[in-house]
Amino acid sequence: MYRTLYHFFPGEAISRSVQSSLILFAGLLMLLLGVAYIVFVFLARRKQNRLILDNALAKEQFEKELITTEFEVQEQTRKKLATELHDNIGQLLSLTHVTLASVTPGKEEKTLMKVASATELVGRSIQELRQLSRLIHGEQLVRQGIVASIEQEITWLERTGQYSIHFKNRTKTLAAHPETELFLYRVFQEAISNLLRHSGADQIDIALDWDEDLLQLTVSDNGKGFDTSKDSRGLGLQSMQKRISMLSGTMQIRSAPGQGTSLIFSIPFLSPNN
Amino acid sequence: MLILFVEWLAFLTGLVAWKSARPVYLRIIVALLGFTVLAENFEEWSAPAFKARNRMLLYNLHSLVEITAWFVFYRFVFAENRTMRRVIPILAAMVLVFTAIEVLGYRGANRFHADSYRFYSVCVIFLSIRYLFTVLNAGHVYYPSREPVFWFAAGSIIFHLVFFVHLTVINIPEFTKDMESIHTFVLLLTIANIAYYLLLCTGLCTTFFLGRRSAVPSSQA
Repeated sequence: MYRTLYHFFPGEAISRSVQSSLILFAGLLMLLLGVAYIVFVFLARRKQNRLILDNALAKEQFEKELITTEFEVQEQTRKKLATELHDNIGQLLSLTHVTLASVTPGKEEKTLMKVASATELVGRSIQELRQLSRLIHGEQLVRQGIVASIEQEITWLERTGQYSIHFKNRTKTLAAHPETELFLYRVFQEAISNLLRHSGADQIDIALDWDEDLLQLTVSDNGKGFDTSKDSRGLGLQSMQKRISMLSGTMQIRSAPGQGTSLIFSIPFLSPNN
Repeated sequence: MLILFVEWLAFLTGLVAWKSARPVYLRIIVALLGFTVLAENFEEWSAPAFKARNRMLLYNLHSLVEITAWFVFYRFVFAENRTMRRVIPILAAMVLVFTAIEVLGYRGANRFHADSYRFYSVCVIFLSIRYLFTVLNAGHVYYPSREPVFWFAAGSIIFHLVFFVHLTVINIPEFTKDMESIHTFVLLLTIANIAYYLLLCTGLCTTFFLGRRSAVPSSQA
C-alpha cells in the first residue's frame, strides 16, 4: 500500500545532491538493519534451542546414571549381606548347632561347658547381626554424607584383617550434595573394589579434602601398580571416569610398576553459600 | 502490479488458512489483508478523476484500519504480559489522537497523515522488536520459523522501517527534486512491500502446513 504516495508531495526541479544519496543510503540501511536483526534472532534462537536440547539430554543421562548408581550401591550392599550371612553368621550358627547337638544328657560338666560355648557363639552371632544391620543402615548413610559412607566402608574392610587402612578426613563441615555424594561414594566403592582385586596391596590410604569449591578424594595403595602409559583402562576405571565426568570433575591416575597406585578424584563441590 | 500480486497471494493464503488459524487473532491480519486488497484494487481501477480526488482519503482510511488492526493484534500477542497489556492501548490511543489532530487539523484529510503514521511506525517497530526479543529469550525450545507471529513481526519491521524513512524524507525538497533518488526509493519501497506481504504469506502458510502450537513464548511474554 501507499506505493505512489510521493506524487502528492511538493517537488519540481530535478537535481542530484549528496543529501538525496544519504537519504537513500539511510533507507537501505534501515532495510538491511531490519533484515539483519530478524536473521540474528532466527539464528540465535536456533543456537539456543540446540543448547536447551543438549542440556535436557545431559540432564536425562545424569538422571539415568543416578538411578544406575543407586542400584549399584544397593547391589553392593546385598552382596556384602549375602557374604556376611554365609561366611560369618552362617558359620557361627552351624557351630552353635553342632555344639548343642553334641550335648549328652547325664554329663553335667561337659554339658555346662558346651552350653557356655554355645552361648558365646550365639553372642558372637548377635554381634555379627548388629554389624550386618549397620551395613543395611550404611545404605542410608550415603544420604547422610560421603564421610559417613566412607567410614562405614572402611569398617567393613578392616574386619577382613588383611589391610592397614588410614583415612584422613580434612573436611570439617561439608555441604550436602546428595546426588554428587552418591556418585562419589560409588566411585570410591569401585576404586576399592579394583584395588582389592588387582593391586595385591596391604596398605590403603584414603584422603578427603575440601577447599570450598573443590572436593578431592584420594585412594592410594602400596600394591604392584601398573604402567599408566599403556592402555590399561579396564571397565572399572572407565566407569569411574564416566561418573566423575558427569560431575564435571577429573580423575588422575598415578602409578608405576611396583610403586603402588594413587587415584585422585577432584570434583566441583560448592558450599551452599556459593 | 507485482505488489498487487503479492497482496492477493497473501490474502488468498489467509483465506485458505482462515479455518486453521490458531490462535484466532491471526485472522485480524487476514482481515487487514482483505481490506488492503479491496482498497488497493478500488484505487487501481477507479476512474482517474475519482482517483485524483479521493486517493488520499482512501489512504488515510486504510491507514486507520491498519493502525487499529496491528495494535489489536499485538494486544492479543502480549495478552500474558501485564506491562505490555497496559502499554499497547495507551500507544494506540496516542497514535489515534495524533492521527485525528493531523487529519482534522493542520494537515487535512486530502493529504496523507505522515507525522502520526511515522509515530505509529515507531510503535509497531517497537512492538515487533519486543516480540522478537521475547522469542530470543524464551527459556524453552521454541522454533520461530513455525510461528506465524514471528513472520508477521519480521514483515512488519521491514515494511515500517523503510516506510518511516520514506515519510521522513518525503517533505525534504532536496530529495523530492531528485527524480533518480525518488525512483530508487520507490524501488526500495517496492522491495519492502513485497517482503512484507511475502512474510505475512509465509506466516499464514505455517498455520496450515505445520499446525499450531504455542502462539508466543508465554513464560517470557
